[in-house]
Amino acid sequence: MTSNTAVPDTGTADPETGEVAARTEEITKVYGAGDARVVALDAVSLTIPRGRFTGIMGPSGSGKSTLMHCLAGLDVVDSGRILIGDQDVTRLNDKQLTALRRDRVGFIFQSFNLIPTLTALENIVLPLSIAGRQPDQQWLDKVVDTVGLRDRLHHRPTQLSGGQQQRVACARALVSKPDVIFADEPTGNLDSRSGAEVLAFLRDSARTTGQTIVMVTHDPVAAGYTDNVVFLADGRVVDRMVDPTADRVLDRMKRLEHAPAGREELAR
Amino acid sequence: MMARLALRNLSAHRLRLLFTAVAVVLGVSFAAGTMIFRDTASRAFEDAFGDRSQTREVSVAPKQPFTGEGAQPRLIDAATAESLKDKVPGADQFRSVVEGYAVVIDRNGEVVGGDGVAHRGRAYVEGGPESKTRILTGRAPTAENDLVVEEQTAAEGGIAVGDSVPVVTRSGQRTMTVVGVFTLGEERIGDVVTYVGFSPAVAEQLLTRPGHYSAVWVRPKAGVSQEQLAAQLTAALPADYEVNTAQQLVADARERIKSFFGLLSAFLLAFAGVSVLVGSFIIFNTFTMLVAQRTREMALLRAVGASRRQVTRAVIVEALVVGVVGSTGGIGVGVGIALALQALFSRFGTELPSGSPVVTPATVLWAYGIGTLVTVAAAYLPARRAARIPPIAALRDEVALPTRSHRIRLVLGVLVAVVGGLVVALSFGSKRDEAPILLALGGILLLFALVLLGPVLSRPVVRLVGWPVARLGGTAGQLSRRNAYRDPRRTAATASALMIGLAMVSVATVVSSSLSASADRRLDREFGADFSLDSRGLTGFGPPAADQVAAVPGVRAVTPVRLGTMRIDEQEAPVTVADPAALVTPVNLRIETGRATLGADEILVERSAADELGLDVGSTTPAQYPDGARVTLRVVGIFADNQVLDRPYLVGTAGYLAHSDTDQLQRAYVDVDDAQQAAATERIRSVLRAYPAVQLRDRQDAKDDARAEIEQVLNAILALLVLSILVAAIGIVNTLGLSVVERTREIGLLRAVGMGRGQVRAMIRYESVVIALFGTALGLGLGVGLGVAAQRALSSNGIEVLDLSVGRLALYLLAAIGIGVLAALWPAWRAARMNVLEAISQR
Repeated sequence: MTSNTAVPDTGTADPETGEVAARTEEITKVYGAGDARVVALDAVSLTIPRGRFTGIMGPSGSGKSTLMHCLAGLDVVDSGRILIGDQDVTRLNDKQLTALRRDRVGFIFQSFNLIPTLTALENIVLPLSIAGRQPDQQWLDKVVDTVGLRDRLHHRPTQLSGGQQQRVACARALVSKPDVIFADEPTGNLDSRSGAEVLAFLRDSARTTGQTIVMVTHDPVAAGYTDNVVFLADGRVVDRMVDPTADRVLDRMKRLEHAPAGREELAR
Repeated sequence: MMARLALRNLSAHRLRLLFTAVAVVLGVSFAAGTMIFRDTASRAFEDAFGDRSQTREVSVAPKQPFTGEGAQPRLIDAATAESLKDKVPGADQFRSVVEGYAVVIDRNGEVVGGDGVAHRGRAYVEGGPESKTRILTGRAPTAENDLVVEEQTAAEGGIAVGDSVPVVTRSGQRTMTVVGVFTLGEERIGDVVTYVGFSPAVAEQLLTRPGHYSAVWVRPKAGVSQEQLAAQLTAALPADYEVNTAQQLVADARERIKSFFGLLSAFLLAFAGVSVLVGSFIIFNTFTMLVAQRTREMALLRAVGASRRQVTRAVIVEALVVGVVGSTGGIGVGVGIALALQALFSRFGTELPSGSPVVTPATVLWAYGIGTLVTVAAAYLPARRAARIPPIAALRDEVALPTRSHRIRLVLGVLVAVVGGLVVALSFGSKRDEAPILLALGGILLLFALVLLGPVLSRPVVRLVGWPVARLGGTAGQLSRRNAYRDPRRTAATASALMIGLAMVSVATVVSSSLSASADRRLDREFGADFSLDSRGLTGFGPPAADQVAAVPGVRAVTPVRLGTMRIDEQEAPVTVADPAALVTPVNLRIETGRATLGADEILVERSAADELGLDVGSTTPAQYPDGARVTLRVVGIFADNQVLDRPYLVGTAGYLAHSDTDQLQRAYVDVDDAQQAAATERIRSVLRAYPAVQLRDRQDAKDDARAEIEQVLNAILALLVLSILVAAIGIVNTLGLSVVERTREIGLLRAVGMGRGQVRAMIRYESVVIALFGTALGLGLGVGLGVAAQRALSSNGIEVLDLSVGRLALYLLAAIGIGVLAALWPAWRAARMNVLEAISQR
């Protein structure tokens, strides 16, 4: 049981070799103090390969959301370094972080998070208009067509279905061609068919346009769409899997849940 | 249980409720302050009067046919007073009172105390059982030119013992030496007066006539009561004498002061009412938003079995607590406002008794009544709506309160607007005194209609006023404009508060600037003279001053004018005493019908007065001269209304002087040869140096004076409206603060996708400005509209010119933007400070 688990990513080698879009070095994040002390991230080192669709899997409380929030500069780590491209996120002040989020990072949230007063199109170009930039019309057209929202562009979010809203969110993340898109349980609020559409769309975006996407999920089916999966448990990277399938991920998760890393830690 | 929940909610949302409470505090404090001010003043008056009514004397004074200041007083002569002792068995000693009009001119040539107060001089008498009059510094007046000045008067005029000051009385002007400063004790309290004292002999000479008194106090013999003596005196004296016991006089004075304060506090309370009204909008809005934010919680309560009544009650209990807390604060702040009012009044010359603020149970009751009732009433509708939330809403992700359509509102609003418009339209053809009432009524209806229509109007108006913001503000500007019209009801309610204040401010501005412009135009038309010589104070100046000016080389003509008082058709009326023919040039007097020459017992009447009284050339009217002589006057001509004359009647000089005890001039018009204008002006000035009571004014001075007078009233009104605008600003803070909380997730997302803190702040600020502009647009629109209507309705009655005072209105617009920016400070800071991660993951 112990031998085939807990293979920490060293952070140096990429499973398929290639460029690195983002990297963490020994990042640690602790919440609370004393009895309430929870180690959310425990010296996590990993790399996000460029142009790939990477999944971060783990049971609830494994620290996967915290990891993503730290990667995206939404949360700060207690120690360690996070690099997006070659920029050290942990050293940025609020202004620089804002610029990072605006120019180099895209987000897709579980609960869509569209601005209700803006139309679909306005929501899509929101990051650009905040930055005061004109959208690249060709690219915008391409994104709009890929998400299949051409005829819904002037609708308000309340007039769209959940799947459509999430596709607007995807388009919003894609339109500024960020270095990395972070998706936090993007299918969590969708029915399975809409979810499948969104996942297929994310996978295709990575394959056809080379967009780096990191997706946090606890759904093995969702993880099955990714190019590679990082497994997290109790704030540690416990495994990686290349070209996963839903079945293999499910299998791995089952074992993870039966043998939490904490106990393995003790066993070692 | 529900009460406990309400209290928990209060402590959980302390900050928001604090702002609501502040709105209540501001609303209540003005009203409470006014009441405390009134009660404090009247309590102190009671104390002061209590002292005075101790005296047992009875006052005897001639009845005064004319009460106006400067009117010739009827006197009681020494022989009559002396004879009382013999004729009236109960009378013992008598004591004379010599009192009359007297003003002091200060170093700058201004009347000490100004125009708004009474100016009195008296024979300086010290002591007596009831008198607290005594010399503070210097000595009592004895010699011909000795003068003593009351301490407040001295302070106001910067007068000290040893100064030489010009004093003007009915008998002319005289330079006197200040030998002492005296105090009247509590006697002065409540009087809007300046006081000087002369030696008794001089007082008779200047204020009355030698051997004549204004009144006498008669002391009863031992065993005779005041009332008995009063009855005996009344029987012994002719009907044109007034007999009053000291008690009666005190009671009368008390009554006068009471009604003065009654009027004053009613006036102030009207403005306090505006604050309360504005505050109620804020409270209503706040509770609506608080309820909206707790929809899920309320639905959950319903789901676990709470009844509608219980949910409503929970909200009402919250309102009750906020109301009580706010009212308590309001009383506290009210004490401060009362003190401020007191300070303000003594600055303007009304000495008010100082004393610790009196907070009567009635005030407390009113304050709590207003504060809690308004709060609970404003919270009732939101509470009802809260109760109507279906329990299932608790389980849904996005919950919205049920909203009603705008249709009923639209219909009702349009209906009220039409009625209001009609009432305003009615004022156009109405009489002089009815028009303002109709305008006010129509204005209130239109204001009410705008409040009703606010939500309907908010989308188009916000789109319009938000256009420049969206253009200039980039994404932040666009988002803020959308935010401002996403909830029309909320935006409208927030803006309504500001609208009410600004409507009143702008109507006052337009009316007063039109009044100023109209006065300007009339003065341009009617002030034909190069100069007018005006007396400082009411009595006037001696004819020699005018004669000397007339003798100046380059002066073509001097037209002397006396301002008299007569009783015409049983009404005391101001009359101009002059030669009508001589007035044609200096005041552009236009005789419409009849002739311009006046014989004895003949009169010229102004057009509007003639119309009102039904007088025409040839008609007669009973009249009484200042000396009491009754005559029948014949109308020989009608002249066009004249702003410069400003008096409805014109009588001949010879006829009037025959019945007057003084030949003092109040005004003279000077016509100068244009070729020698500069030299002549200089010479006139040097002549007038000997007459400090005479003021040289040209047309521009007359305009400036008219304008200054109007501005003073306007400024007072603006000052009183500041508080309601402050309440409105708090309302914007409240709305935005709550909006920020409500849109936490949205703001978090904006931050997540790269909006900087500065942009978030700008977004909130722009929204605030848009709301402020919306309120301002409606308020200014209505105010200017009503102002224009008022001008049109009164165009033939004093407001012939419309002056929108665009500069001032633009200033209000800028001020509104400033209010928007300031009101957004805290909400914007809060929004920008938000933790992005927490904001996004908030449910």
